[in-house]
Amino acid sequence: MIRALYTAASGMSAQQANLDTIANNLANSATSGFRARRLQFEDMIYQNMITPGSAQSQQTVSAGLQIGLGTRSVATEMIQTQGDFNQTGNPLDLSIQGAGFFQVSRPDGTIAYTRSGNFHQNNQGQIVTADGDTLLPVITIPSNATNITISQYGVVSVTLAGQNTPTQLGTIQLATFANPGGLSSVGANLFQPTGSSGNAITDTPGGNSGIGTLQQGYLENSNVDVVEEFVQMILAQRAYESNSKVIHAADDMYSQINNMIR
Amino acid sequence: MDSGLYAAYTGLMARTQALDTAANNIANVGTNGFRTLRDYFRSALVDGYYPGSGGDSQVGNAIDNYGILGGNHLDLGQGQLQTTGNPLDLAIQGSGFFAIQTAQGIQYTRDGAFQRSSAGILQTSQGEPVLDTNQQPITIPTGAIHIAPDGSISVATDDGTSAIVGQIGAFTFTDPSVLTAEGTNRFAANGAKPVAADGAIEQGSLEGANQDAIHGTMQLILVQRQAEMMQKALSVFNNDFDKTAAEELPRV
Repeated sequence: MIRALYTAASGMSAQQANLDTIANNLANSATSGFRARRLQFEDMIYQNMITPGSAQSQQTVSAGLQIGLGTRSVATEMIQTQGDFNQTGNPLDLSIQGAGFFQVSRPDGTIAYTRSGNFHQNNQGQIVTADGDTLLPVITIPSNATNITISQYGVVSVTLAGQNTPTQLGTIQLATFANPGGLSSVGANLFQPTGSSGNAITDTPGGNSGIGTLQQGYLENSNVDVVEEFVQMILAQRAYESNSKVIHAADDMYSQINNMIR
Repeated sequence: MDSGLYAAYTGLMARTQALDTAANNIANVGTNGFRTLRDYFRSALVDGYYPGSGGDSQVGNAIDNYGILGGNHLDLGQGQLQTTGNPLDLAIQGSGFFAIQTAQGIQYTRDGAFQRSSAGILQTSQGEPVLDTNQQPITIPTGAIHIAPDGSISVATDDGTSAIVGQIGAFTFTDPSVLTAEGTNRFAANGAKPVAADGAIEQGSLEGANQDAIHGTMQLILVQRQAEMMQKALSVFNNDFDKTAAEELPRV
């Protein structure tokens, strides 16, 4: 019966972690380029009281007796579906139609990856994220440029003052990973590669299978499905409640046994 | 002393073990591919009262028949499918298990939250390879992955063509009761030979536990009430019979 108490406690803490994940998904339902995460659980080890197939006096037992010891959370899986596109009309808002990531250079010199394509220009004309991280490869837009066009294959071209033909400034490159689910979220819409995700494979948009093409003037919304998250939240809440009922029942049975001796 | 007291006592003991199983089933309502354990109680005759033995008596058989927790078996019914949209989230509709290569040999699971490793090998979230129909690991090249209901994996290449790169195996057993739960969503076959299963593999979905919180709570209430009955019986023996015997009889 003590087992039941610990088992129920493991269920409650797992559901609590689940609710934390759901809360973070919901909080980021308006974050562009956000990838929802879903907590995965697994069962803990089993205590074998009778092993199935073990010999009894006359015949072997057909079914054993195993008592499980609860659940634990094992991973937060990243949901890889595409978010909706939102038309903004801003020439430096880019969305990726495909599995690729933008590469940005962080202040400490490391490269991070993002799906959030709301770019701006800094005071030197470079294309940067809202946090000021430079888009790689670095593309500098001259101050006398008008009419920024970014093709679906990543070619950035502008019309310079006094010229009729557009000038090509460079090509945006995207990155994919063997296992994008293994990327680590570092906040600020950024991901960093891990041993599990593998190294980045870079290519121009429209290249390497599945890397995707760019859409200028659109932003990718978060891929959080709010309705789905609410359903998950209700399930987590009810599961938490059921586990607390188990604690109550175990406590009840315990106190009855204690009260047997008067 | 009264054998009824021991009958009630073993019954109560069995219910406390059954509570542990109920608690585990409820704790795992959110576990992918979790299979509920169902307890069964059986009677245990006290030695010496077997028919034909020296002390054979119908009355003895009736009163010395104790209810103990005989064992439990895995409920292999279908759990609910939940759509996730991830191309490597797989669920089996119908019978069958995915085979995975673990440090303890090949084990079986219904939890299809798989990933592609950085080396391209299809693996579980613990990093263990998922096996194909010949029980060999599967390597998937980069590209858009499509998995057919029979487990065939096709990957669309750059030039628009797609090629089948492997077939995920779904296995079952002629006697599924050989399976033991090993934790981490896995089952061991304990040496039994797997056979091909006829379940259909669904891409982009995960299978949940096959018991929801409502049934779990019902199981819990049942165990609790039965324990209460046993406890009541124990208290009758303790307080009404034995107390009377110990306190009232000596006065005669």
